[in-house]
Amino acid sequence: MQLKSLYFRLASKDPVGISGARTALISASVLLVLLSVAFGQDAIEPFAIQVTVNYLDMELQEIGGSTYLAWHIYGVNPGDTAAMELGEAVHLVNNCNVLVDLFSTVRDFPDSGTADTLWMPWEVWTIGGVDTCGFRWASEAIHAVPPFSNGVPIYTASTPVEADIPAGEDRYLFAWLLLPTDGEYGEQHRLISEILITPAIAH
Amino acid sequence: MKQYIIIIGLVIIFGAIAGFAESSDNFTITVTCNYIDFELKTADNSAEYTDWPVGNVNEGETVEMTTGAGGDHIYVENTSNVNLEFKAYSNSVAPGPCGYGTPVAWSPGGAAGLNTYYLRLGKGELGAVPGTYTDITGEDLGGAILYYSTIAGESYHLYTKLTAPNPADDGCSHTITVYIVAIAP
Repeated sequence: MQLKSLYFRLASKDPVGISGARTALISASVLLVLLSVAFGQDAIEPFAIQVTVNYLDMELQEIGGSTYLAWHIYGVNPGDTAAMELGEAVHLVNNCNVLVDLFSTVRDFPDSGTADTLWMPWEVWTIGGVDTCGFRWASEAIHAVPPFSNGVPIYTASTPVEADIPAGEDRYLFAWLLLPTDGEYGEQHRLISEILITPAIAH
Repeated sequence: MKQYIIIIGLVIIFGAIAGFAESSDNFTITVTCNYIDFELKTADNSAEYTDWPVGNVNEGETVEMTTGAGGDHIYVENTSNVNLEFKAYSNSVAPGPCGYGTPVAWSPGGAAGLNTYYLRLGKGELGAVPGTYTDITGEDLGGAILYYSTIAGESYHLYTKLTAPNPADDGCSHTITVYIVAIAP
């Protein structure tokens, strides 16, 4: 028994060695647990999606910069062709961020100022006829009167006035009105022409 | 003589005590930490996947990653040693001014809306888009599981379907950052 006690005393006389080893062991265990928590529980990987929404915005302005409201044509004869002059052109300010196609429609607006029971709406076709008019738009990159041949007949919205207009590139629009060759005289007509732009990539 | 007998006796006793006083045995602890590691690679597994350049889309238009080795979908190279849940979330910040409207930050949603995009992810094949997608509506960790890998280290093809906001307030280039998260359940 004395020898056994001596043995344990000798062992207990090395407190630094034993508790130091235990501390190191516990520390190592904690470190392993922490490492497993840090590296073992989840992982994250990112990637980016780059996307731009087609931004379609335009303004129709007079050459002076104010909003374009109307092209007034006065006192024309049946069968005449009225053409926009340089100062009457429509400045299309292109604020789009994408390649666009330019379309147009035109129709005779039925509440004309002098409309009465004799008033008949004009049909819109490629050329003038009885109660039928023709209408053309030309889309130009520079502010100069184009030849009549540049005009695109507007009688169906499926044909673009101009296709693939680059993003942000302005245009100057010139119109021709081919008046009816016959019909009710003395009635005022007000034609509404809508300008439409759509992303060219959609076609 | 007696002394010798006593000494021999003590030696025998000491030896016996020494023999029984110290005994050892051992056992082995075998442990493997969950090793979770994966990478987003290009469809042909040739390079790191960093971005999906969608480019211009119409408001409300839906675009989807393409199939094949030359497609723009993602190959998830999984080198984990444990089954995993794959989740995802996304977020986006307002871009700088670009001249096309006032930039507004987009956010994810369950459907496209005002400055809100609709993002879906799904597991497909190299040559086939997913049959079903998971809506990714969260902006931080959590949310729906887009895929549960029941085979440790199973790599797979990941597809994204995106519907652009409708309407959107601006025409600037937006960056949506998508985070793929692998979690040991």
